[in-house]
Amino acid sequence: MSDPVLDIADLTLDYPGRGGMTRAVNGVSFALQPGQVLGIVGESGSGKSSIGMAIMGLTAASHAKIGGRLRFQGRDLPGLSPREWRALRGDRIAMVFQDAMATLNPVLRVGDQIADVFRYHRPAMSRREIRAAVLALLQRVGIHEAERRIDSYPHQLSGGMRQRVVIAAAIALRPDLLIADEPTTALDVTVQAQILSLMQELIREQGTSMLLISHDLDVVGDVCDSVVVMRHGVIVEAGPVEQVLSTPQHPYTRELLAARPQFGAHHAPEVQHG
Amino acid sequence: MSEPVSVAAAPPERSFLRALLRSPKGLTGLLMVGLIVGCALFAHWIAPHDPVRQTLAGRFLPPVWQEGGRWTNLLGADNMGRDILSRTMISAQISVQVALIVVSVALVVGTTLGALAGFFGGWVDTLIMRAVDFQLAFPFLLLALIFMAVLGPGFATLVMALSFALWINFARVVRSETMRIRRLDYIDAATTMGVSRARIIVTHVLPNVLPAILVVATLDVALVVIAEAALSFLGLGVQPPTASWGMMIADGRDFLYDQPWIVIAPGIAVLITSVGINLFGDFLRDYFDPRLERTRA
Repeated sequence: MSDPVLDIADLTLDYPGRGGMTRAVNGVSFALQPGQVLGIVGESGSGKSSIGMAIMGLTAASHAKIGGRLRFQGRDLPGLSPREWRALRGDRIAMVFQDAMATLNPVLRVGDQIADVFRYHRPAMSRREIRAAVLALLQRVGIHEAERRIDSYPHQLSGGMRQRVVIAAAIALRPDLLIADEPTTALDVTVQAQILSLMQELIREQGTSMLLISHDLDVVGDVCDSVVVMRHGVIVEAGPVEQVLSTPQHPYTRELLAARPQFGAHHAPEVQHG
Repeated sequence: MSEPVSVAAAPPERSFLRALLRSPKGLTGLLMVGLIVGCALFAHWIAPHDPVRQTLAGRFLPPVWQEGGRWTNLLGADNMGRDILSRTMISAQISVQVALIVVSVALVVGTTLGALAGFFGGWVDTLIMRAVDFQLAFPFLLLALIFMAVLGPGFATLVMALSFALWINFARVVRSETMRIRRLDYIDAATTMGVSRARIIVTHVLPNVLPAILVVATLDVALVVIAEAALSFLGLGVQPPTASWGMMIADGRDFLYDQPWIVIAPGIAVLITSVGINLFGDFLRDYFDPRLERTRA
């Protein structure tokens, strides 16, 4: 087996709060191989999102302390200088957030927001080359009339289109690792399926590894090769996705599986936003 | 799955002009401000007399509608026979100039410091906000007096003293807005794209703070006009022979009982300016605040 893209061992994450530190992640270990998709499943507060934030270097703002090993392609992430971080982020590691409306800046055109990635990481590209690249990306992620949409503002797009824009920005430079934090949770069920298959297609095409953070076991079962189940900051179960979902060993995993909406539940009335 | 309320900034399709035409408040405000700015721009051409020329025969000439008034001096003349209408018009120049310069300086300084404080927090924030607190605790007039005492009264000193007093308004608003915005997902998203912090502030934070800055700027213009009049009234502002509303009021206060028109015209000019700007500022705030619109709809 080749070197893992992501190598996490005994990772701890502490947030400062009233009355000392709160441990959000406690001794988590897993590795992600190139081209593989790993799912992290757990309820709110299980620490699954914190891991994504730590890999992206977004925990520094809340003064969190990272312990243990956190390596990306053999490089120790917490030890990087701000300049090395900037060079890595958006280029080799990219992230897709849950709420595309909040992820896109409301006062900037979507094309310009995708163009940011090129401007920072490919300074040699001319304006025209960047625009052409952005246009190609928008078409690639399935946005119709990309020539018109490139100059739209986020609120002029539908929820699904916004998430497609966010994905376009994330995959723009063919990153080695894509972190997707609940990428489809804010979307309608029908759009969810489209976005998921688009992401699967893209990472397969580009050979990108993906870390999929989700609470939705169906999504994880569809997309992931292996899965890590987390609760209260620790891993309770890990393994290949078929094995974990079909023969769960830990009672918590069984509980999660049992709590899953059963067939037919999807047809229950749901509030839908265009 | 609700849309976040925090998406600031008006959607670009909503036409500013249409909103303005529909708002009696904004229109009235703009009209009043326009009148003053028009006076300031064209004073040299439309003023009927030389604002500094003194005529012995015209001393204490009453306005045209009072007995003894003359059509040549519509609003009468002051104790030195200078035409009050012309002086009021030319004074608008000083007010507009001071207001624009002071607000621009305060805006640039205040926005920069406020954005730094709000974005970086920590000791940067502490340092800047303590300076703001210090400023707040210091009476404005005392501050202005210190400036005058050290630098001597005059236009430049006036501008400096007022800018020094006003930057905190911008700093406070921009800081709180920046603190809110920097926690939003799109700032994190920009970070994950590898955008540097300096560029995040300039391209992602500031455009979102702009509506708030604009509102503060308009309201501060009114403050400056009044403060300039107050300082000039105390003899700390612009010096004669340059005319200014505050100075005209100061000149006329000895004759307040017998010749009140000397004071009334510049007083009304100050009133028109500050009411006009406040109305227009109110309209701007309504226009930019999406939450207000939601309650109206």
